[in-house]
Amino acid sequence: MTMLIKGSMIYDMEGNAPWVGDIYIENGKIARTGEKLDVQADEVIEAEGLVALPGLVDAHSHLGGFDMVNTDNCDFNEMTDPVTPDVRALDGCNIHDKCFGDACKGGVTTMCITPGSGNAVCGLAFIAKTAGKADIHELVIQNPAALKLAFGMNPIGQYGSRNQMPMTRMGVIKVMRDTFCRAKEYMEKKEAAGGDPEKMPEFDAGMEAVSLALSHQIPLKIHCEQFDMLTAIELAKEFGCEYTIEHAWGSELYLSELVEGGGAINYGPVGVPTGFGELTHANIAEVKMLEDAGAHVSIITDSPICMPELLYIQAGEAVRKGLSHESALKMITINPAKTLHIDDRAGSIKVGKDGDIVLFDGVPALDVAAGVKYTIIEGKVVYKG
Amino acid sequence: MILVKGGNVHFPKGETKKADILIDGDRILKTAGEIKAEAEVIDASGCEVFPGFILPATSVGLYNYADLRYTDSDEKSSPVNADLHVRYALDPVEVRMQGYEKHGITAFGAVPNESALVAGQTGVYHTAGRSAADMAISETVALKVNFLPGVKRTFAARHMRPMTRMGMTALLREEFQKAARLGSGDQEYNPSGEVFRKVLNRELPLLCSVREHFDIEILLDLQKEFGFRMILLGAYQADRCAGRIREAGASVLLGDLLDCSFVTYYDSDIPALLAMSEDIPMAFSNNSSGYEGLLWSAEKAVRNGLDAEKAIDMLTIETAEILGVADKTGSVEAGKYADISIWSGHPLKSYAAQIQVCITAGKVWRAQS
Repeated sequence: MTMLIKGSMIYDMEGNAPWVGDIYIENGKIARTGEKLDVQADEVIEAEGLVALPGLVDAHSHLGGFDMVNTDNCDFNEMTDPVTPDVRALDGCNIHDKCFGDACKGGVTTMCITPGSGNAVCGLAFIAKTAGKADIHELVIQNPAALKLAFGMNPIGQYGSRNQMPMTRMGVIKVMRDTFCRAKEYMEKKEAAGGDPEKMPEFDAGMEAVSLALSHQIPLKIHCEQFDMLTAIELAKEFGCEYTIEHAWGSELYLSELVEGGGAINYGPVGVPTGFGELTHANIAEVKMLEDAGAHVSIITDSPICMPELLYIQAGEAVRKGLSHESALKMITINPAKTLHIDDRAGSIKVGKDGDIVLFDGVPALDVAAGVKYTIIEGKVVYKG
Repeated sequence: MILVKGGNVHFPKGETKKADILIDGDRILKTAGEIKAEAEVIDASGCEVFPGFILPATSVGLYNYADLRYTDSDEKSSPVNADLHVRYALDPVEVRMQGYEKHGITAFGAVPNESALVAGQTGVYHTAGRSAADMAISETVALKVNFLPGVKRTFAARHMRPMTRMGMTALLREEFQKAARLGSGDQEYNPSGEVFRKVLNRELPLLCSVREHFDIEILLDLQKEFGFRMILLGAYQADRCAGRIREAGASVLLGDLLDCSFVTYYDSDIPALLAMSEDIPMAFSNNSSGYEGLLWSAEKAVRNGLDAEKAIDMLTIETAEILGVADKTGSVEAGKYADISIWSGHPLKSYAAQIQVCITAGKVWRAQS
């Protein structure tokens, strides 16, 4: 199968100024780009007047696991124990959920889908395309992709009401540290066994999952805001783990620590009311402050808490708060692709990458009226507006 | 006095023109092509000037964020609470914390939350002020009814009515039937009945939080039976009974268009919902999210083909008309409150448009440059 997208204004997210040209996709991959390509294709999209972006990437979503109308279908918080590292979002993610249609309508072609934040150690996230195949396993790019942790009110609210640790922030870090130390011991025992089944520790699925992060196979994906971000960095450093800071409300208070810590920032969503504690600093202007300070920043939606299209709306909102338009687009394309280590496949329009393209009828994050006209995943139209 | 000078002012129904606005205290004294006066001048040249936006129905301000276990937004001790009024729960500090001025929102409808069937009376307030009385634009706005699954869940858990749609409808019908029997002579103390009588007399509309088509139809049936004025809030499937809504003379405060659960699971047809705005009074709303959400709904409407000026009307004058406060706010007009936002461009056309100044009942807020 081949596809030719003709004459759109291309924002390739490869550092080039927007240019008018063609994109040729062959067997799901971008095979050629250029002005007036002389090539035949099975499917041709006349895209003059449209704006092409790489498929948008959302580094933090719960799509398919939270049906907010039917609570029987909320499957992303296994809140039976504050430590559930072995549960996998992929096993609870319903690809038939209507929300996946919203992802396509919103131009979001790749997502990191993660368990919720009800537990201190929540489980394993995965990365997948949002459409194009009927079986979710065929959409997966990586599974598991990260070990999700959650600080703050979510685990405290759950377990505090049961008089069970963690009832406090003191308890949250203790629960996490204990889990990591036990996993370290588990790994050492396995190592010491030297392949001798007799000497191996008893199999523990949770410890196996934590081991993935401690042995640098996957990063920690840490839900945290405000000063919890400092605790998150302390934990990641203590165990030598790669990490990302998720949500990151209140970043402006700790810019230097966040930059020095080196973890990528997945910011958002905003549009929440202001309360106390965690709810004091949801402010999209913080993505600019973070970028100016030198952090690697992406914008996230937390869908389906908000609709997937909130990705590019928040990018616009960031522009409204003074972020450059170029940076805003990067924060929903190439930056999250790099953070998720999938920039060999997604995040920019470049020969060799997946044929994931969104065509807008205007410039997203600048023209309010710009909406998605086509979403293309691996050379296949998955939405047409 | 304050003189807003040289801006491109947006008036209702898409009329825009260069005009000066003279403000005296909390009111607009005059608008004209050019005004000369001894006043503090706000230079709006090159800027777009709008009436303050109105968030028509939110529980923010009533939540008691300091301890949400004891929220002030949701009296659910019994299903019918017609004689409660939001003014006693409205925390001006919680309102101020939101920073509504950052999106040009100068007024909001404070509504109780969604657990009780009849949740209480709502008011419309400015987003700045020291007390409910100080902030009040009108405190006689509507009686809020929740015709929602959450109400059934709340009372089913206590094994009391209403745990079904039959129960919800029967309770409402009974209140109306009792209110109809209330005479004007000496009566026993019956504060809830008095409120329902005002609804029956069409003095006070019923603000009905409702999502599904079927529930809207049940409410329309009740409306037909008792003839009250009706505002639908949320109404994610309203287009499916647009004819009956029109016939009932009801208006619609569209729910949050970025709320995935409702828009998606109720299969909202957004262009069809927006098409209703041609002949049904309609406005954008946003129940419990931050200040950004209201504009996001309007922006989404524009992406779905709605004219940007019509969308501005649905954030300002139409909202004010639906809530019965159009004589006091909702447009830039002499005699109304000085509720104005000034932007570097058109916020429903470009994300490059940034707010410069927001004036709430004459109080000036300036964006930091």
